[in-house]
Amino acid sequence: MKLHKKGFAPALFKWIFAVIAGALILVFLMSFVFKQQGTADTLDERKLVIGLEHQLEALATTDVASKTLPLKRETTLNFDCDGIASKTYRKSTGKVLFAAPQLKGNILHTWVRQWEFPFRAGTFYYVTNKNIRTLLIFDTTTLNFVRDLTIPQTFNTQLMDVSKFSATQLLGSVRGLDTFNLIFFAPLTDAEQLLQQFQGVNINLVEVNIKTKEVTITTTINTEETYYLGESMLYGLLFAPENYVCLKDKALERHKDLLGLYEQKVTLLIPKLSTQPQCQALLGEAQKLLRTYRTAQENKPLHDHAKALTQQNENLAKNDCPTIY
Amino acid sequence: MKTSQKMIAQQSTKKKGQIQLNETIMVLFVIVIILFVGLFVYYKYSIASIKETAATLSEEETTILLAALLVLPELRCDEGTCLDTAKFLPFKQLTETKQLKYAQFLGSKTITIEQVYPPMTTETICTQNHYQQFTYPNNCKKWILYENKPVKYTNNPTISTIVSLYFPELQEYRIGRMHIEVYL
Repeated sequence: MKLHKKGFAPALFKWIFAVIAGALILVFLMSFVFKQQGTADTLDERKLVIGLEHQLEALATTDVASKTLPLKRETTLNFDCDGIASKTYRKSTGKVLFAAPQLKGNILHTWVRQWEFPFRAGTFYYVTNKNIRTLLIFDTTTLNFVRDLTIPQTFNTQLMDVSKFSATQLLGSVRGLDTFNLIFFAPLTDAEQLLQQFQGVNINLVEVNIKTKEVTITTTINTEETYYLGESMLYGLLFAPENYVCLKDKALERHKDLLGLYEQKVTLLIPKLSTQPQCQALLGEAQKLLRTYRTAQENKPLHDHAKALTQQNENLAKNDCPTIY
Repeated sequence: MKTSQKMIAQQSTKKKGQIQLNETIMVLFVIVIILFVGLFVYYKYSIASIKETAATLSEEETTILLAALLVLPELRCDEGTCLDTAKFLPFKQLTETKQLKYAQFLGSKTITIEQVYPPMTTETICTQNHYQQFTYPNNCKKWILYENKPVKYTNNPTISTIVSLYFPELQEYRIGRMHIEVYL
């Protein structure tokens, strides 16, 4: 073959050149498309997480509200004490958001309640889906208490008498769930044995004592002794036992900040009430109470102080004085 | 003679091939240029669209924040939908001591509240000194509740709403306006 015959070589080179250049352009375009796809996905996830936070924030402007949020597509959201995360984006939040560590699917059920202890100390948010099931087990002494709990119907929650409870019967119906929360408002004798019976199921066992407000949380990883302050916090325990302790501490930190704020408010008010000595005296007592309340860290002192503060606030109102909260 | 003709023919073929190759390079060059112009326009459009989404989300966030502040335990009265003015100064102090925590919640904004009715003759900002005076709350007009102004910002829209202000020391209600200045 003669390379230079009738311009054969330049034509061959032309084709080789065109093929290489075309391939390079194609690779470039392909990488561009993939990059754009990635950017679009990240943007979508950001919109989803920020949108969820906005929806919750909007719900919080009322005292109690619940809403079902359909998502555009199947999504996995991770929740922890400090924020919400999707596959590519994480948003830190100061909210006390009770949710299982991971929620998968395209529908979220949300619920918002104000937390009062004894003053309004923040908003609690609850997020779940149909694959997180909560079963409340009661006995004769806790029947009324459990029946009076007001949980939205969209939340996958059922009540059961402890006498009818059978792990073997339940096992079949909870196998496909993402998480199964078993809440005992009755004595739980052997948590370890129960965990064994539910092997293969992502289960959380919670034992609640409604008299002492003490709680024992047993998961497959560990066992924790804790407590709850008010009904809103108890609901958090029912839907997010895994993150409960951390979220309770987060709520308590805000509560402590508010105690400091009320203490300062009272300090500012006292000198202004020179014409009302009785009010000054009552506010002086409230000031001391708020100071000791701030140092309380355990279940009983926190409850005792809350009770005393309620009484002090009522006294101030009765005497036509400015109230603490 | 024949040899020289042959050489001339070979040279013209070579030249023809070179011209064709140059043509191809030119065509490719033009295609690449068009492609880059297209990508540039597309990127510009994408960035504008992302910025628009960010602005929408920020606007949405501010509107929600405006509603959320009215029910914030740090500011609201225990009953009713009013703001407790005796909490304003302690709140400002709290946002300063817990700067990081409140910056996460409130972001780059300035939040102020001013008394609207009864009308005030002064423009003074309320401080602890003003509060302790006998003439309070007639000696000052506004409270700066939160201030987090970034060094650089391109835009600072302000949204506001009418609020009911409660003065516990007087057990009296007045009308105010809350302003949220957002730094974008």
